[in-house]
Amino acid sequence: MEQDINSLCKDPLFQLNLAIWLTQPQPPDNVAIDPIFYRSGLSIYSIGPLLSLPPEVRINAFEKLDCQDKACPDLVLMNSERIKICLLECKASSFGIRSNTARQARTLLLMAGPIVSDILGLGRNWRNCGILCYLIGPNQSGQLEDTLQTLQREIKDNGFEPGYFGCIEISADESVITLEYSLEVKELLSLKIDSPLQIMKLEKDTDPRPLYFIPYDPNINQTAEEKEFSRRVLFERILEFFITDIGGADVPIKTYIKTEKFLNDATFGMYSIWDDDEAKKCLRKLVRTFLKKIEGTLKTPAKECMHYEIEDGYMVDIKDDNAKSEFLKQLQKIKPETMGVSERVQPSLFEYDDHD
Amino acid sequence: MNIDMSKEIKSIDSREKMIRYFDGYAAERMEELGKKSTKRPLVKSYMLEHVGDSQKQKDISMVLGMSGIITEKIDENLYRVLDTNNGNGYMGFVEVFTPRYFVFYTSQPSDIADSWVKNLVFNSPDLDHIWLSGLTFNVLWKRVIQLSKPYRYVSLLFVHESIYEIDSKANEPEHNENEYNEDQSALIDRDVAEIIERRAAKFKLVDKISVVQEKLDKLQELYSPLYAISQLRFPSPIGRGGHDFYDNGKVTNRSGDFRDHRSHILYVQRIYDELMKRTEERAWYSLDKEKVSVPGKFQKLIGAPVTIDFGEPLSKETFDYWIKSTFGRINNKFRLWGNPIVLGPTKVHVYGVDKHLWKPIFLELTNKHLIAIVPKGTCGNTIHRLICNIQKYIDPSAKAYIGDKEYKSLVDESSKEIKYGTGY
Repeated sequence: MEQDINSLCKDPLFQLNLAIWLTQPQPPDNVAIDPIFYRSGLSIYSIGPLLSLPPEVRINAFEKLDCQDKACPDLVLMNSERIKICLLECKASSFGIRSNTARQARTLLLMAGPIVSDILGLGRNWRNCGILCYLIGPNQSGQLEDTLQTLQREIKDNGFEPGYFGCIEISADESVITLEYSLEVKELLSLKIDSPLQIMKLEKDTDPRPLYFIPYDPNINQTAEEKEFSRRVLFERILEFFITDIGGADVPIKTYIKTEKFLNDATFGMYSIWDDDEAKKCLRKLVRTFLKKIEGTLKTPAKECMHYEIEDGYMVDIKDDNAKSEFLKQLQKIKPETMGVSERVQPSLFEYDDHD
Repeated sequence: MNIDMSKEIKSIDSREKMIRYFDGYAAERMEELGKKSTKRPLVKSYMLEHVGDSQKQKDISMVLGMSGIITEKIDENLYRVLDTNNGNGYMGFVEVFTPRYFVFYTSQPSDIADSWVKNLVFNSPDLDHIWLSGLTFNVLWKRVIQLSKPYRYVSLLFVHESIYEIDSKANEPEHNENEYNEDQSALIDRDVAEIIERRAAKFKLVDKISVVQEKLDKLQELYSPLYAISQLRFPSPIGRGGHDFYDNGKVTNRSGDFRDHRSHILYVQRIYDELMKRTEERAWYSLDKEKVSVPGKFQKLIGAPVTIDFGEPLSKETFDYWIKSTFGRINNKFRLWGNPIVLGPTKVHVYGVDKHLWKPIFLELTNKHLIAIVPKGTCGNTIHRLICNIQKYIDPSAKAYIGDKEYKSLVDESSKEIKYGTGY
């Protein structure tokens, strides 16, 4: 398997899933990934929360700073005392101070300031220490730290209180994936081990991706190959939940397939909190296209158990145990990897949508 | 079907009568065992698990009714079991310990009872055996030491067969996706059996508790299949013999007392229930909505991965056969479905289904470990069955963890904190 692991280290979806794994309790001898955040007492407070600046900050900030009124960090990590609060953002590479990403960074820096616990709804706590931390691809942290330094100074010069910032750089060589961070980041996050830290051993010709908690995020820019992998995982999970729904139901079964439910099941409920309605619409279309392909592969008598209704979408109608058994047997033969994981899907007008 | 037995069961209409019937029956068999000639089969019990979600739990009559089996109520928690299919009559009794756990008592011959229970479980996604892995038995063995005098005799059966060392039909269940064979072993022991060269170990050890206590740890270190305990006897405190617990929840009464038999089943069931609760509490993954701030916007991920770490890496061939046999065949020992996503020569990801309970499970399988992510709602039994099968067919010395906690210590804590309860 030819794969450039350093290119994978730039994939924000890989970074996000890796960051989640870094918070997971694992066996003491590091079977898969060294959970550095977990060992430091940091756990996930929230995945992809939509946060807004308080009105009194917004009213002044908009006149002086090029920032947004809301932002959505990829993860919020927190220690058990809720003193250390880390807004974690995954990025492929650094960005300039005039870019759109810099607007988001200014907003997140403001949010990571003393107002951080208020923004998260935890009440005012002057002891808390907020940090905006970027998980970033290889050879990018130097540049990004310069950018963040400039943005932080700009915020201070305009009379606001930004939070701390830092970068954790992910890179790989032939045998290991390593995290590098400054001494300041180590202290701010109370990390137990000095940088560089080897977190994952690599096997020859083996893709290091861990099991993905979040298989797909329409807001994340990925390469075609990465997108194909994410879609494959998403489709496998949709099929998985389709099979478990039917397998666990008592006959007779008469149910409409809700694409939203499947998308929520497949993404641990993340789908419902994504803020991008257009992307969600695309995703629902993607799943409906997949369901259409599933319908197309079914053979009689299983084919008769699934049909499309213009108003409500796909209906599964299974009358008895024999029909259920045959339907499940055929579902289990489906291979999503051969079913258009790389096709582009655009939403179209005048088509049913079971949204809401 | 034994007509006499069916008539006998039919005439029992109270709990007291059932206890007296099985007590007397067990005493007679014990006498016969002393003479090495039993005239009728021993009493055996089968510990069964129903779904844990109280909203999805069904009444026992409904659970068995789905398979065409009739339950006749004796009291609040005890039922006669009548199977009119295929000329079967009264098969025994079922006692409801809790809405989640049932036990089926019978004096039918092993071959009939085993196959009847096996089919019952196979045909019902609402029922499963309880699964006592080698790791669990190793902890229960410590409880046997505490409970029994050192001069009492204990019986242990060790079963391990590396069925994935070669590709063969043996990797498939014999029929209908059986989860265990009649003799509780996957070993082929027939004159006509194909000559297969792979590791297969089946030992029965009967000795004084003091002797086994002194030697077992050392023997296990020397020969790993001895970690794969698949049957353990709890000696009876009342007299000779005891209660043989098997890895699939079958318990054979080799003592002269049925009440003592039932007490031991209750004891192990309580340990299992506690283990199940602890496993599910730790392992279940979900996004929990924080109650503060904007409702529904804060999603906190809770749960812990299940890791099974192999003592020695599997060879490439064994790994390939394991994946091919499990995910390439509709009928497979692990009763899993999934399309492996190949990430390397010895690494695959599977977003799969536990086909017995029809629940999702995400798996990373490599030649060094198995990692499972278990979404909330997937029964803890899926994890226990997985560990049981890994020890039996892949690596007897495998260690299991829920998050950073060793599974063995979870079993140990579960068994230490059991108190006598009057709830059942």
